[in-house]
Amino acid sequence: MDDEKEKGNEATESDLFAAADWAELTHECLINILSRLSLEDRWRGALRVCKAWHQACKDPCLNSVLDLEYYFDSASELPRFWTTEFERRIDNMLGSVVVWSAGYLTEIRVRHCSDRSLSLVAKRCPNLQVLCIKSCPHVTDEIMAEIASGCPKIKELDVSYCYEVSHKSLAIIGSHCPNLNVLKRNLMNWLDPSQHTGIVPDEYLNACPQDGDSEAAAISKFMPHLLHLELRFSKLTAKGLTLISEGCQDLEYVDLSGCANVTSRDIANASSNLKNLKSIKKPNFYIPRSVYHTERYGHWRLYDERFQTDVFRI
Amino acid sequence: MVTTDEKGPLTAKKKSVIIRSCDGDEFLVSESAAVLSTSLKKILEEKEDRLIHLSDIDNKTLAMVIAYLSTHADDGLSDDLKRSFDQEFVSGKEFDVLKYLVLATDTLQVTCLCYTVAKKMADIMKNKLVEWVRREFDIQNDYTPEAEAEIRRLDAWAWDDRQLEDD
Repeated sequence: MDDEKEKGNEATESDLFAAADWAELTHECLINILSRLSLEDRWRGALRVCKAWHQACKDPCLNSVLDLEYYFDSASELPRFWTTEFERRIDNMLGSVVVWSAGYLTEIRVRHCSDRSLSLVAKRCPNLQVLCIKSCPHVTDEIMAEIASGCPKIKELDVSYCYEVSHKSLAIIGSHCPNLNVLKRNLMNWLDPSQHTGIVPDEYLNACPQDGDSEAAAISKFMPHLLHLELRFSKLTAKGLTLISEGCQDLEYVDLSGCANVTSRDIANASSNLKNLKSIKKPNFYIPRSVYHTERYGHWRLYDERFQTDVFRI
Repeated sequence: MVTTDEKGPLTAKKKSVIIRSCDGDEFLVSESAAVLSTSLKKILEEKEDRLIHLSDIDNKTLAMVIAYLSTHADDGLSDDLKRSFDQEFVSGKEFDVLKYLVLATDTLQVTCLCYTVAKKMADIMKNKLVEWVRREFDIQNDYTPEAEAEIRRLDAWAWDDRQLEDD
């Protein structure tokens, strides 16, 4: 072996190209291939092939983003997502990626994780810019406080459907993360929960946060640079909305769909403060899908179905 | 348009290199094409010799790589044409052929071809079982059954129950 290396140093062409074994592609080339695989193919395929590939899959450059949105979106929301078993699986995945990223993780888009993995994020992801953790029933204000101090570069935060997260989290994240400009804090449809029942546990649906105005106050006070704000089905009132319009004057996009406690007049008043506003979704954009409406608009649905079929035939 | 005369008539005369595959076939390649491979470029810089012997690339694979290099070194072709050439280049190729191409581009360090072939390989591996990948890529499983079970447990994909293909 050593002899061969010696000769290689003399740079004879034939030895420069020492026998290449498929399993021993250069690290760069292997990573080049692996980086083109979907996350699922990498985890379920490449990662388990052999030790060299496993090692390559853990390379920090393949682990700077963990985006599972596609996989949540593609399956219809299953009751299974709300089990502790599934939460454990997501925690494990997030935990692994945090370790493999070696501090370079910049984007996390998952759902149903818990404080178990997030405490690791808080400790080891100083470069995190996007944190989307929708539908995490066990994420609390305590862990969000840790995130706030460990991840000061956060620009985008999505804590929709996280009912243990309160205005305290919003305040502390806002005060520690000066770059924050996107906040999504949507709640589930409480006006007509039929789309969630059977999937989301009833007691969780009933635990819907009530203090929309305290959240609005925290947003107004601690997140002055927001450009994009989503508060679907928030229970905020005119008071909260006015605070937001005074505190977050850069806002360009506001989604208030389903915010049943604000009127068109409240929205008009608030909008007049927001000079950069490009789009505002008003509560009345929302049409409840109650039985009454299904019957009433039944003919529309039929029309829709026929229309869709035609689209696919083309 | 870049003309070959820019650098003066002598140096602009297209220099050629002879590349020999492991099975002894020789290919005449213009230097401008050869230097697209970082490895060949290094050799040419170090040596005056115009004969390069590649001990582990067979003539079939080498012919393909050289066709690729020559096309990409041709200043007369537009980028669009080169892109569609790339598409053609990998489409319809047997898996084994691609396998040798990846290895060859890896040893020769042809960045742009590596990109194209890597993408094609990744497309092939889509939705495939581990066993399929090992079989087709001819990779030895160096895990003990216990170690493999441990990997599957520790680095489990959250939706592991979804079906994958084995052919």
